[in-house]
Amino acid sequence: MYSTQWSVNELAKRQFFLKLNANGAIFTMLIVLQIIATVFISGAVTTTSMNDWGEPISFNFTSISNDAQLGLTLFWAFIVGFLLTSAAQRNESFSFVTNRLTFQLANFYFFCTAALLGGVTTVLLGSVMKIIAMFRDNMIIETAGLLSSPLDFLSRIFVMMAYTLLLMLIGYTLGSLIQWSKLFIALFGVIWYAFTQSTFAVADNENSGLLYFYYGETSILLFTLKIVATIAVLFAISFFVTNRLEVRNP
Amino acid sequence: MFITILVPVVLLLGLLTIIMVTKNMGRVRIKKSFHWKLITGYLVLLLIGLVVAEAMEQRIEGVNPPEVGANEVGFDLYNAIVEELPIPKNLVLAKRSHEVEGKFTISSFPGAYILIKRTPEISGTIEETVYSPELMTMFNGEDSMYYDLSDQLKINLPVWNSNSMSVPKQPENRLEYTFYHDSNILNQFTGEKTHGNSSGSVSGVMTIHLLIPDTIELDIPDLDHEQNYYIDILE
Repeated sequence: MYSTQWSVNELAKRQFFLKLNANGAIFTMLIVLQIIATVFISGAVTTTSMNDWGEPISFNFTSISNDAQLGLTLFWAFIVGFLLTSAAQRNESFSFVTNRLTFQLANFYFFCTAALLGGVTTVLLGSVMKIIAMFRDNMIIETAGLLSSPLDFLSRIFVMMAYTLLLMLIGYTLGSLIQWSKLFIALFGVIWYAFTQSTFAVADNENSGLLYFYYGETSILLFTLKIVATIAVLFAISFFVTNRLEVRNP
Repeated sequence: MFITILVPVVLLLGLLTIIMVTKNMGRVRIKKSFHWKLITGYLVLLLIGLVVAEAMEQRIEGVNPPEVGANEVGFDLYNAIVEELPIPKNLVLAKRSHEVEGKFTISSFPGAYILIKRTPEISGTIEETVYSPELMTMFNGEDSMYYDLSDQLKINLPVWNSNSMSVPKQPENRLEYTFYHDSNILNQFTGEKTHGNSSGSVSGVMTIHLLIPDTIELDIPDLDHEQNYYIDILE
C-alpha cells in the first residue's frame, strides 16, 4: 500500500527530467560540434575557367551551406543514441524506483528533446551561415528565409528533427544489441559493408538503396510514416533486448 | 571502400572523444546549471541570428541575377541580325554613330566578331551596335536552369577615330560569386535542392554590327583564323 500512486507516464517523465539534468554535457557537446563546423568548415570553392573569346574568364564560386553543421549534428545524434545504452546510464536509472518500461520511455523522451534541439539549432545555424554569405560581394541566396517562406522553414526543422531522431534510435538499437552480445559487432561490420556497397558502390543507383527510401520521399506524410515506423521497429528491438539485460551487470 | 572504412573509424573516434570529454567535464566539476545556461544563451544567439538574417534578406531582396531556362541560353545573334529579328535588350552593350572621313579602316583584332552590312545611303555616318557575349552559370542541373551573368563581363568597347576602328585587347574577367543554400537534406520538401554551381558557359564573343553606307570605302584585314578574328560582310 502506497500513499502516492504514480502512473507509468509520470514516472517516465520524472526519470526523463533526471536524465536531462544529468546529461547536460551531451548538449554542450552538440554546441561545441556546431561551432566547430561553423568556424572551420565555412564553404567550398569551385573554379571554372574558360577562354572562349580570346581572353580568359574565370569563375570562383564559393558555396556556403549548413551541410557541415548538419553532418556533425547527425553524427552527434548517433553517438548520443549509443551512449545512452552504456552500462553506467542503465544502472544509474535503476537507482530510482522504476521499471524497464519507464526507463525506455524516459530514454525516448530524452531522444525527442535532443532531436528537437538538434533540429532547431541546425536550421537556425543556416541563418548564421546566410549572414556570412551576405557580407560578401556578389552573393546569391538560394534558400528562402522564414518570412519569405515560413512553411519551408518549418519543414526544414521537421526533416532535421526526424533524421536526428532516426540516427539516435539507430545508435541506441546498435548499442543495445552490442550490450546484449559482443558478437553483434562483427555482424554489424558485415551489415555496414553490405549497406555501403549497395548504396554507394554502384554509380547509377542514385534513386535506389536504403538512403533513397527516406531521402527520395517527396510526400511529407509518407516520409513521416516511414520515419515513425522505423523508429517504432528500432524502439521495439531495443526494448526487447534491454529487457533481457541484467541490471548492474555491464 | 572509402566510406566503408572511414565512417566506422570516424564514428569510433567521435565516440571515444565524446566519452572522454563528457567524463572530463564531470571531473572539472562544471555546475549542471552551466550546461543549461549555455544552451539557453546559444538558442538566444541563434534567434538573434535568424532575425538579423531575415532583416538583411529583406533589404537585399532581388539582387540575385536573372534566372533563365535552357531554351533561353545561347541566343542566335547572327541569325537575328541577318533576319532582322528582335534582339534581347540585355545583349546590347552600346549603340553609337560615327562620322567617317574618306576610307574606313578596321585594324586586326582578337576576340571579336564583326558583321558589316552595307546600306544604300549617301552619307559618312556608320551605325555601330555592340553586343555582349552571354555568360551563364548553371545552378540547377535537373531543370537546366542558369543564372545570366552576362552584364558582369568587363568588355572594352571598340575605339574609333575619324577613319578607323580598332578592337582593344579585352580585359581579363575574374568573377567571384558566393552562393548560400541550405543543405539538400533539409530541402527535401521545399523544392530548393541544389546540384552545385560548378559549370558555366560563355556563348560567343563580343559582336560588332556595323551599318556602313555604300559611299564609304572599306579597308578590312584579310581573314586569319589563327589570329582569331572574323569579319562577315552581309549581303
